[in-house]
Amino acid sequence: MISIDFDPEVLSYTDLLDIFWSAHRCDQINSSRQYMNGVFYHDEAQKKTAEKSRAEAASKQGVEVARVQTSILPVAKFTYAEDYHQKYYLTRFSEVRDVLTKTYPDGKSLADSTVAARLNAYLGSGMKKDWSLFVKEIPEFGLPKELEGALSKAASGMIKEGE
Amino acid sequence: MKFRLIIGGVIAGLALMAGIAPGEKLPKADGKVSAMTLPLDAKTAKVKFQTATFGLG
Repeated sequence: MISIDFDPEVLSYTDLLDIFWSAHRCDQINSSRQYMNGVFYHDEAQKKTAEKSRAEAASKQGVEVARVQTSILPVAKFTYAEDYHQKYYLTRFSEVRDVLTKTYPDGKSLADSTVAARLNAYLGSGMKKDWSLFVKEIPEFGLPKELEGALSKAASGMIKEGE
Repeated sequence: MKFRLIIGGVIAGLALMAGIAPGEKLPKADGKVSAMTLPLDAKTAKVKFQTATFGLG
């Protein structure tokens, strides 16, 4: 289960639902509750939006609504996963991870950090098209100068590679 | 006695398989942003975020 805090002025709930539905087959049977596909709504507005998006996703995927296996349920208690699950892609970048875990020693803070989320997304997914954007963003993160320099250098290398 | 031990072993095994270390307490969501040290985090902590929750198998 993943919980995403988003700025509705930048991204809508519908945008996130679109990504969610496109990331799986809605007629795929959930093998267990732990790995179930589901939308867990926080209020009535989210519930209505999710139900509308389910019908649209089913139609796009050529699935009858009655055969959709993806659940839409009210959110229950959300418990943060163990520290080693947080910002998983950063485990491959020990220098970055070390600075972040020193700054935010508990998993909850690390999970809440926008800087950690952005670094995890950039470094983890590749995002080849956006390295120049990453270079622009690095100074905003407020990382130690040495790490900032190393990241800028690595990202500039990626830009050159892509040219 | 033996039966209890087996049950205990099965429960411990299941807990380990689920990645739960014995005695580890995981924090619950409290709606508060606890990351404020880095400048960008301090800035974004003021944003009125909404939360979306999904499960993907």
